[in-house]
Amino acid sequence: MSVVVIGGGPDGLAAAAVLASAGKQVTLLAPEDTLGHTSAGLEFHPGFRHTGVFPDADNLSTLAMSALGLDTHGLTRVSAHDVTVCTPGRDPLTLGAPRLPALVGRVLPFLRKQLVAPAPDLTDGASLVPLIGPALGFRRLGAADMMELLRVAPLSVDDWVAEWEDDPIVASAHMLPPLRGAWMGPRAPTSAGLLLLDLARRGAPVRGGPAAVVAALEAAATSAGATLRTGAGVSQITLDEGRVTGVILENGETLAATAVLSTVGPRRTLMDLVSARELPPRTEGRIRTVRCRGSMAKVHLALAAPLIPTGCSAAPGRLRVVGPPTVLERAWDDVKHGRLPQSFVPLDIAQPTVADPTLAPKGQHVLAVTVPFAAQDIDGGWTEDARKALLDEVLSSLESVAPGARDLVVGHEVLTPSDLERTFGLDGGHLIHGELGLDQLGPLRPAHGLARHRVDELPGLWLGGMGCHPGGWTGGAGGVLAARALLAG
Amino acid sequence: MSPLGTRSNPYDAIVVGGGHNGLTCAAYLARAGKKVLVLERRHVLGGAAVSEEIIPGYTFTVCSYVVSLLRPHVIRDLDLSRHGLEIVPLECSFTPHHEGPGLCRWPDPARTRDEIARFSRHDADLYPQFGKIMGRLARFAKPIIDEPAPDPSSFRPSDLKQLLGLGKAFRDLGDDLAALQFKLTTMSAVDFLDEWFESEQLKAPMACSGIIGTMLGVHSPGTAYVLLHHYMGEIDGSSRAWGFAKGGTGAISNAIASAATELGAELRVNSPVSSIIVEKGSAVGVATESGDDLYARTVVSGCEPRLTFLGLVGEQNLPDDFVTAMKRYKLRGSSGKVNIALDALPSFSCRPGEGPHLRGDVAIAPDIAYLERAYDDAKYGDFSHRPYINLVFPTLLDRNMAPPGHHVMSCFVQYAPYAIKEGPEHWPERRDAFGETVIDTLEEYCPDIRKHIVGKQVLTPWDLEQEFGLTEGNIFHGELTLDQLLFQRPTAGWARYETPVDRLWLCSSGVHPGGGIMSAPGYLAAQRMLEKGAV
Repeated sequence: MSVVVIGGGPDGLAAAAVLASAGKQVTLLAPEDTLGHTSAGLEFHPGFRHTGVFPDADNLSTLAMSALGLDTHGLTRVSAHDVTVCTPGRDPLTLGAPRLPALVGRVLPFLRKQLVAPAPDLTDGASLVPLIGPALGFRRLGAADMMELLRVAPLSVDDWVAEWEDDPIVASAHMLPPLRGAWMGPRAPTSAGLLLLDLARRGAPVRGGPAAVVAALEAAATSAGATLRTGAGVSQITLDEGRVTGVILENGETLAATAVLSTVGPRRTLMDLVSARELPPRTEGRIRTVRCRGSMAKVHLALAAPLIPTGCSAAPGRLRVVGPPTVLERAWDDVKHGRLPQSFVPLDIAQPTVADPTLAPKGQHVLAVTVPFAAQDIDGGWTEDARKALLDEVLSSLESVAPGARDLVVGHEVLTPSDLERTFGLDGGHLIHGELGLDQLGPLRPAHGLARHRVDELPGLWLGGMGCHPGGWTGGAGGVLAARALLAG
Repeated sequence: MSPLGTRSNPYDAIVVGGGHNGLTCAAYLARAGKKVLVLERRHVLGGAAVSEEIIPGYTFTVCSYVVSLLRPHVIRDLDLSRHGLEIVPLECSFTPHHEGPGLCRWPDPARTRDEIARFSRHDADLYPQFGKIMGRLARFAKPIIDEPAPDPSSFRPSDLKQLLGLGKAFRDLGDDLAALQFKLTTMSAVDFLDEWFESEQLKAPMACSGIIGTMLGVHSPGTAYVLLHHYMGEIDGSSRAWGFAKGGTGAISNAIASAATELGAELRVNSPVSSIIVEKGSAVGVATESGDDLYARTVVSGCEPRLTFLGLVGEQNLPDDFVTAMKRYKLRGSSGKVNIALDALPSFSCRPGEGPHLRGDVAIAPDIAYLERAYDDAKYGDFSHRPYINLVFPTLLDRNMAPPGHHVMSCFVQYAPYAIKEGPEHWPERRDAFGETVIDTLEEYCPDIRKHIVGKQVLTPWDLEQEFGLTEGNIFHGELTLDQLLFQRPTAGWARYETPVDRLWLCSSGVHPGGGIMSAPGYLAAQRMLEKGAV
């Protein structure tokens, strides 16, 4: 059996490794010239590399880690890094986990279990059986925790965090990660549920960031016998009476395969790579409505010296620049209304050169800035002026906590959602192939009827990656689960 | 024998608050032969369902203005028609625009289709199908409002049976509809409607039903669910349960009060309760502001839960975790009410003159961004510069509510957040400006309105709290968000009308199934009390 895996990111590589280990003849096709997709560490300015456009590697799935024996391929976890929290006019704080409510510790094992298991299959309309397992696990939490989880999950992150965190700046710092990729502001109901899920996904960070994950996955896939091809963009998945027969590459080459597993996003796979004529109407209806509005931008800065915010004794490796929750809400309003940031821009920042000085010339540094609130579609579009304006707002935010930051910048790269869409083929410029929201998770990710990675009417086609269960920011798990589904099917 | 209400001769039940739910509960208890007393603080029964002659000659439906899902069995059991209840269906839902003729949605599908087709043929084609699917979902969801909330934490056979029954009903929907039902409870109104429709002009007035009375915007997750309520009403039969009450919503309260009186309940107005008397963890009666202690075997509160517990019962009589839960209970009133007396009907420039388009509700909701901007203002502590307004002309259905040729106009206005940045107690200073904003907004659609105004009543959320006992001005006695619905209303473990205080019960909109003129909490509380032999 020959399998083509589309996409060279962590999910594609993980899927290829799992399939090759099971004896399949696997060819992975990555459109970019390097493996890793958004997790690839790239040079963005002469002599300066980032560790991936993808912002984190502390959510590498334990599933991928153990399923592929990644530790034997050189991957190591390091202890959780401190996050420095800065706000203008105040000394920096260190964000610690201990203040989280006790509930979190008690429900995380249950949530983690859901993140490594296949999504319950709801398409068998006659049976409640698929729900019994999760339901029992849920009840095993005990009445008090179960009810508390039901109370907390639908809350807004603003309301929930306010219950246990008095300091508005610390509260804001907790709110940034779950709102990434959610198309929500802090006052949106259900965002507290997303914070719980984010905490469940988070593990110890990986030394070297996303790029190191890619290297280990590449080694795992290669040693299992998979063929990995770069510069091989796929233009079409070929079908014969609904059955997958292979792919056609952008250069015209055809490749026969008995199965195709695509990790480039369920929407893109079905709407762009399968011809509209061959897409069954029911599936078209399901995938068309998947919400995929990118709301994040990434800015990479090359610095002549480390960024040390006022009040910090050393350069922080991780840094969040925030205001009180109202400031986050206002930043969200700009996304919602599709306009350039009009006020203070909150930032989630990594300074990877603190841990790995080799990413930049000696003594110089790299700042990888995630802008969690940047609209995909702004009025007038992401013109060169608009990109400059975004960079300027980012630098102003940096200046507000580290005066002189602007003068340290010797090079930059701005990736707006529109750039992400163009550069990486991401639908809507959405880094995780589909918004996070309670109605786009679990058995509803990417959409009802597609969560088990297969497309009923198109045998041989498999969907994997972050657009599928278990959702975004779970490096590798979406590939492993899809590959396992393929092997089982 | 000592008079009723003394320690030696207590009432079977005292109901605190004569709103429509308190009255319903009292009527059902009286119907079961119980000796019941209802104490209402104001001079008139009905709570937020009152009609009052605020300006001589003009009767306003002061707070609530449409009947939403009034339970048919309550109408039947209490014989409310004989007691004067007459509900007239809405003839139209009209959304005026600055340009073009606006949008009218009529009961006649063909006519609605033509209206929608002006904006989008695609939407016009899908609208009936949308209604059909929502109807099926509503049929699934509706039984939930006629039963006590399911308890997912219970292992009692009766509760498990209820849960399994719900599970089965869910599966019987078929997997596609079951998925849709789940999405409906977690999605925003706009996202949900976006899956179907393309025209802003149609989506905006539809999305409004998701935000009424809540401090959320049309883009906030969880707001899609309320779209179902409209379709639930249609199942009951639009002529009976969804529409206007002749005489305003006070007529509903009056009919229930009349039924309750006939069944033997004693109803007193001008009788504010200052506290609920708790002895050894058990409610034994109430103390009135006039200094009397009235005793009962059971006390039922028709007031909002936080007011009931932190105001009338007192923290000292409650477990700590319950006090925390009540402090967290979200009220967050977001709306005001402006009632206007007119010497003639105003004319909408997009559909001039009188006509059937005014015999329903009129929504000032031209597009989605308008609604979201209205919410943005409120988020940061101001009333909306241009609010969403839902208005009705009760006089078109009941000519007796104003002098001949004159009219009353009832405007529900959102957003008017209780927590304005100056502090809620400063609302009285902003009341006039709020009223003017509403008139200014209306003037953009009815340029002649100002000259027809004879008088007006402006109710801010602060007024709703001070005058009607609606804490923080929340019209539903608590936000209707997922974390405060079903088995969590008002808080987990206490959703079945009982409370941590023995012999104290709840029957208000602050318990399952929540707000609106449904009479469901009052009915369900009475049923539960009778079943449990609590009275």
